[in-house]
Amino acid sequence: MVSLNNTPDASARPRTALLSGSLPASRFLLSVLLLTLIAVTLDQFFSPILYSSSPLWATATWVLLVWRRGETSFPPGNDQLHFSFSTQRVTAFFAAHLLIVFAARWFTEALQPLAGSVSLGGTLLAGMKLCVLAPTLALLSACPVERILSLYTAEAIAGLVVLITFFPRRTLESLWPWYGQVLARFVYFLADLMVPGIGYIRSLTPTLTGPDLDVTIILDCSGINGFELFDLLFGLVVILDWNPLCKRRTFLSYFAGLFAMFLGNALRITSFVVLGNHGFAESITRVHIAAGWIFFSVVFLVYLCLTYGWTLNKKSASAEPQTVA
Amino acid sequence: MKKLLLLACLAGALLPSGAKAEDHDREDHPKHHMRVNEMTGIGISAAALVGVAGYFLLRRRPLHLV
Repeated sequence: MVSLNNTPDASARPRTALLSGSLPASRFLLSVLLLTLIAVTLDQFFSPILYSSSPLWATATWVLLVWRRGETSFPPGNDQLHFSFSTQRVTAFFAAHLLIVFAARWFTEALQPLAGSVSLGGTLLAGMKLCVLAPTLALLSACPVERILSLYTAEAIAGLVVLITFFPRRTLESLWPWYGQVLARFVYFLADLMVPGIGYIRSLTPTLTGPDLDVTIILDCSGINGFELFDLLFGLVVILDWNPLCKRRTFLSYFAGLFAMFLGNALRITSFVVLGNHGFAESITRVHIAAGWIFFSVVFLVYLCLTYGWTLNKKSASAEPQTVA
Repeated sequence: MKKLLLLACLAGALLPSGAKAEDHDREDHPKHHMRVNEMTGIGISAAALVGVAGYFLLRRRPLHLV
């Protein structure tokens, strides 16, 4: 049922593996993740109430990172580990997905009012949608999970970070009553240094009043576009440079980058308040949406310039300069 | 790979501008409208293009200059 082989003869390995149906660790994990990605996509297709982009992004990221890593850089002795699927576990995996789809369709009518709503029920429903990843445990338990996770710890953590933090629209919507005040207060503090006579009206959508232009900070000003852009671009950098990256520094750099985008967004709104109250009110009203995107990409690039060299593992990068250049 | 990515971003930036709907105002002059989501599409594509291009430029630099 489960085979975990340490094959001493490397030259005989491919043939033996093919005949026994066992796979090297990377291919086994890739197969598991690809099966998961397909199954989750089908779940969401046949039961739209299950739709959530988080499991798709997380699984896709894990697939790409395992693929980028390849079969190199394993600790000594682990490069010859082989794992195999058993028919029972694959059957259990698909049966569990079928069960989830039927259950979700059965309860669709009851759950529909909660879907997408910013409420406790809506948040619980969003959390329950992650259950589509649970059947994967049936496949992974075919091998010692801790063994394969120890080989792919960094990739697993990256997948988890994507699952929890990517595209945090719902989180920002839930936190908006508090987060909106923090953002507006911070912008007020910065703008007050440059615009005399500025005022602050506290409400769910706080307004900064100025002599020429009043700026109301609505949910769309939360910086969600900046966070999403940062997630996409940072994800691209990580996938392309995965092997030479220092994983610990990349992890820190990601969260510091999210904070940098928050600061960038505050600076963006401050610039609207300051410029709008210094004779550019009409121009600001006209271009502020489109300019915001470009501003966010500039913030990302400045941040990347400052941290890229640090996040690269220079030891391995200098050994393999072609992977970086 | 790089060229494909740049091409995808460029296509993403340019395609939504072809989706502008033509309408007529009260004087029957042709008038262009653009929906907010189309503007957002152009914005995110342009920003992604700038970001990806900047990253590749940064990546091409010798490591000691990064």
